[in-house]
Amino acid sequence: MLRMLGSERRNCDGVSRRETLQAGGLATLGSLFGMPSSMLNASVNSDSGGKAKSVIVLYLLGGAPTQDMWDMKPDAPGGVGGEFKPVASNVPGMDVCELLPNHTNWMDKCAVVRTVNHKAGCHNPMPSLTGYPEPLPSIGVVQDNLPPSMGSVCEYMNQESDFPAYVHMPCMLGWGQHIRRAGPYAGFLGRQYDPLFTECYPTSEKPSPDTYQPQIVHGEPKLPVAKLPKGVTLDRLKARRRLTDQFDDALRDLERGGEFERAQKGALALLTSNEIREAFDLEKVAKAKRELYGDTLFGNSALIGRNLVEKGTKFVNVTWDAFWTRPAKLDGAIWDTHSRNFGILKEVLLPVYDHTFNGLMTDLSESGLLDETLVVVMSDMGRTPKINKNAGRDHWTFCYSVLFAGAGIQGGTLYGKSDSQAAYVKDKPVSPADICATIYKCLGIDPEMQIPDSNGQPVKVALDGRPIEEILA
Amino acid sequence: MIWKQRPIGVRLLSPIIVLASLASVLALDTHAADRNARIPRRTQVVVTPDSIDLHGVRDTRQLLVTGILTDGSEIDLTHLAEYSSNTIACDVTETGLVQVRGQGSGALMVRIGHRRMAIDVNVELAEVEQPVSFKHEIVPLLSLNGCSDIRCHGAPSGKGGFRLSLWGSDESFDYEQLVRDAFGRRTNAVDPDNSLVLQKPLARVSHIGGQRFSEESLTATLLRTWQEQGLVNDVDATSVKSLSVTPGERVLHAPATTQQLVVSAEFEDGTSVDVTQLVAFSSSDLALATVEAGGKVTFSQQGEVAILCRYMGKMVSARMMHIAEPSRDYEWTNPEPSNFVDEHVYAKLEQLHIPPSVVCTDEEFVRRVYLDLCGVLPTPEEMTRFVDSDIPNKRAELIDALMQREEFSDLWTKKWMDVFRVSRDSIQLQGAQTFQAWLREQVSSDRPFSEVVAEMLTATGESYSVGASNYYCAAPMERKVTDADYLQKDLAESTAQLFMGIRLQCAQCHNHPYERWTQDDYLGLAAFFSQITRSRLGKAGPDGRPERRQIAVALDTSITSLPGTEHKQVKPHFPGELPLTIEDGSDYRKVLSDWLVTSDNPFFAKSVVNRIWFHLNGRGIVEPVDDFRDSNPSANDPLLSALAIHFAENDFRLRPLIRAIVLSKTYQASSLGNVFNSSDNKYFSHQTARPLPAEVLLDAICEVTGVPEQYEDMEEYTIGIHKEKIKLPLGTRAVQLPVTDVVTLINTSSSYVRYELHPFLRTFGQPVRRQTCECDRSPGFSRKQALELTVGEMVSGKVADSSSRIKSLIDNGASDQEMLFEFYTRALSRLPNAGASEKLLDYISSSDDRQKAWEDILWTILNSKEFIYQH
Repeated sequence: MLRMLGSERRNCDGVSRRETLQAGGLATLGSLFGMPSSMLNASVNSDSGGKAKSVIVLYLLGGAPTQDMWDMKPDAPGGVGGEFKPVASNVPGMDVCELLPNHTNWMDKCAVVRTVNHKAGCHNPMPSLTGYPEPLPSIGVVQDNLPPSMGSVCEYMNQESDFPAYVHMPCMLGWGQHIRRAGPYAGFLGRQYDPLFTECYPTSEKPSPDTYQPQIVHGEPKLPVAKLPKGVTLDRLKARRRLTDQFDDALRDLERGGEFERAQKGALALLTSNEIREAFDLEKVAKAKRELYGDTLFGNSALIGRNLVEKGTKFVNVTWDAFWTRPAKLDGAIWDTHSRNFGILKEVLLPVYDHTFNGLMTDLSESGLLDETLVVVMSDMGRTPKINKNAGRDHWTFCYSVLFAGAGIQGGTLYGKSDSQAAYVKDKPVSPADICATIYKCLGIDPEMQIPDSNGQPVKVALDGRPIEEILA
Repeated sequence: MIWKQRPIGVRLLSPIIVLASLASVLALDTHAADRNARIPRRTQVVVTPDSIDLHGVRDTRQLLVTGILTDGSEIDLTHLAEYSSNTIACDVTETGLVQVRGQGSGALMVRIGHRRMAIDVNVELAEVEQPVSFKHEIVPLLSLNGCSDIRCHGAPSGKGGFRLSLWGSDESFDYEQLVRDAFGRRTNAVDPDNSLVLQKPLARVSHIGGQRFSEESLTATLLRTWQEQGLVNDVDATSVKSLSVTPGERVLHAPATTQQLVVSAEFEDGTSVDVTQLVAFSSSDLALATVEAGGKVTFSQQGEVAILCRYMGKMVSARMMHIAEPSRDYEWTNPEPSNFVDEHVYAKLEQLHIPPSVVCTDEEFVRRVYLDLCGVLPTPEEMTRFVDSDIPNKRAELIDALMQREEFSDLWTKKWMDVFRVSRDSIQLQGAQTFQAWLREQVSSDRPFSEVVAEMLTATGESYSVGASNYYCAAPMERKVTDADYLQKDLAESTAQLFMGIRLQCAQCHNHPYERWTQDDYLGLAAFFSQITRSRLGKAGPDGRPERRQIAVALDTSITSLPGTEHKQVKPHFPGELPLTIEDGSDYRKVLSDWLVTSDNPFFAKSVVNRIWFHLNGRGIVEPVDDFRDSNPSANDPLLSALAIHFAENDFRLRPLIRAIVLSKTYQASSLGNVFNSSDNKYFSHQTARPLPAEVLLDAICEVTGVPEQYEDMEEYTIGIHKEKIKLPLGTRAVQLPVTDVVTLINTSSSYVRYELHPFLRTFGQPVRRQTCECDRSPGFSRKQALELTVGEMVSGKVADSSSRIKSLIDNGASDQEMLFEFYTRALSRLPNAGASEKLLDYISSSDDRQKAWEDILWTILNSKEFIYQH
């Protein structure tokens, strides 16, 4: 059920108390925003036009230089165009970087939006993950009164199941730098809709000598609770749970019980559900398949993401996160290539990313999951057209590209035009909120669906974003 | 122009009008019966205005028809009345809007049921062409239709290459944009219908904002006429002095659900005009009530809203309340108020047909009041002594005793530290400890809060020695040299938020759309802080930055206005008041403080009592607690005023205030709802069950398990140099920690050092203390929190610890019965139910390992909602 403005508490008939009480108010709201009131109770994914059941986001933290990937400007003057050459793909006119050889086979399934831009400041993941367009006082402070991430909205709408609808890999965003980066959280929806963050203890073959000599990061995301406390077996935990039923909790039946029960059930499901464990069990995955994704932290995260999607997770975020102050100096540059942009792209970023993207697309395609899974490759921002004196590119939010592939997407599509240096938008600007609206639409979630903000005022999930109809199948 | 067209239209249309009215007579028959049924009997009817003078072809007047019932209450009949006109000079719409049709005079007939009333009407100047006013009509209409909204062309960067000033705040800018920008394509004096300003919003050409108004609408008509008349620029025309709305407040008892509003504007030149058709209306809560253009409010459910009326940069609000028909078996329970708090809460609840919940049991009360006042659980002995006591006023005695305890001072000091941004990042550990000690002294001596605030506002000195100076030191350091007035703006915002309950942030960039604060108010308040200078002390460290980062606050009274190039001329003035004259050489902060912390200040007392109420009841009377504004009505105005008066009468001391609240039956209500009030989460008909704050929860876990948490801490640190961890004394409670970024020093060889919050405390929402709001602790209970309690070390580890209470009870030969009593009373302040007791004891006796079985039982208690929640 697509729900608005209600609490999550439900009666036995599945209709929440507050929902019933608010029916009148909702109808009014609906008519106000031009929605027929019947839509407010429409089921998601039935006939609402969503072609994708799930989305896997490959998130290139730090600001990927998309002008060196999918929006190349070989004719741009020196100091802008870059060192790499474009090569033809299976779609005429959709050239990609020579260092993304595998992408050439997939562009007929992809749409590239070349005119994404925002003014919310650098290294701010909020616009891309939530659509929120404003700068933050600090990107390392998570504010709970801000709009929720797309994944949290998916979790909010996943009222029926204990299986996590929203998983963020490989670790809490910013963990490897000892900061808690804003972006992937539930904001004003409430903490019960935060993502399930996995944990990881990554390694590299040798330590990174300095920030701009990053290493390829290996490792696997793990369930945060893979380890039970000392002296507590799974059986004992289950016995404790049974004991809970014997216990006379005076608040068990209290009206507001929904959030507590939901969280406890969700936590227990993580500890006891075989399905979740299986999704994370890479031991059982054939060696060939692991090689298909690449034995990197990024590749393994994507592989687990694919498993989760198969089992019902709606929103998977696979982030290329930094590991610098924890657990060791492995990769401090990530996609934030202020120095040696081309060296790092060539040695680490593009080969690993291209490999994983290809693995994911191949596997999704062969298993038929691509028909119901949307893949999105995006960043918190782009990088300067001008190449600086260290052969790096700096922060740039005024024009960059986002790639869509798979379910719901009109393959072989280019949307929008950047100027001759990929510096500014020439035609059809797109806001991060528009990207969110497009993802929502693919998932069958009305981008104009209203949720209550921290003051109880209705807010559209995609804020003022509008789906890019031209790239939708 | 219009008047020339209209008579033709009327002539052409008149046969159709006759037909239509014949048809509607048939339909109206049942309609009329229905209407009449909704008009209460024995009602005195008043129509305003009682006579009408209209000037010019576009003048309009909205009639208001009000019934006055025998009990004095009023009901809006505007939309139930029937109107007719005996003159061709004007007509009246079904909704009571009088419009000019020609020159002359006559009477308007208003029929209510069987009553008829006549209103004299006189129309002048109807045949003179009247220029459309860009300032008075076009700009407000663009705002009304959403064109100049923040989400559309009013955004700082505009939309689609077209920008308007936000909500029409700058008419000259808008004129330039419409007439000169984009090569003048937006307007077209020769062929208005080809102008973009009509083509776009009428959706004749592609418009991302869709169709905003119809061809026949007032907006389209005036936009057309204004262009035809040659795009007259009248931005120098008279401005609005004040707006008024009628009725300013009204209670709508079911079946009434609608109310017509009339807004009139008084201009600087002394004229007064009915601007109802030009006002942008909005409702503070769309889920409760909506308002149409033209001023008709419609409720969809019971509740209260503020309707904001915006016109030419001025704003006025009307308070509307709708009370639904009570359910059939509803009965007011007539509870006896325990003090003035209950009197006001019950009055509101009775009005809304929401009977309050019963008063909680002694067991519930003792747990609740210990946690709320002191942040600790009662011991089994304290709990038993209280429950068993026969003293009639034992609750009052307990409240007084608790407010004298050390834990009371710890907890309430922490609450202030959370919003005063006390962090290692801002003022270092030593600054935090100095500030904490000073605040704690104020709380424990119950010094008048007015004096506490005054001392902070007027403080100077060094952070590590003058506690109160840390109010200023904790404000973030300027990040950029270009931001010369960064500190002053920050202090204006934080002081307004903390001690006035208002959020001025929006007014930094523009006049606030939903309240009365202007940019002048914002900068005027910032100017009070213009004489403050801050400097870092200590010699330079290895990287050139000062080694010790103590901050000193000094005063330079030779400064007389805001620093920086932009705002040089701004002098201090109080928000919403006239500019001040301040003697040269005075401390501006003292002037501010003398104004703020008095009983006649409109903001101070209310904002403080609301914050205290929030801590005790889980929700502010105004919510969010620091967001008082016309568009955010309080849940109970008389209650807020009464608490503020009580606070002021008791010299602004917090203890009498807390005592009055906690003594009330409202505070002491059960958290279980009854059949009528369980859906109420606004009017305090029952208590609100909510998760314990992070620190209190961790302290409670330590207390019940008997295993205290070892906190690590550090003294000064030098940038880039790792120092040894220093342990805080064992038994230090989380509530007592001076900073929230306290525990782990990250041993890193990169150039700076980072601290982590305590992971458990962070998981349960301990704030990072970067903001001056209470918004850092988000609501709800997350899966991560549930996981932490289910399998985290904090519970499982402490339960199984070799020094745990389980171990010592077993070692001391306690029986299972005694142990069950001990843990239930200690964790939950009550005895187990017979059924549960039997089952749990069975579990112990059927287990091979008694210690482990008790670990399981205690784990179960610590994982219960009853333990984790305040209720």
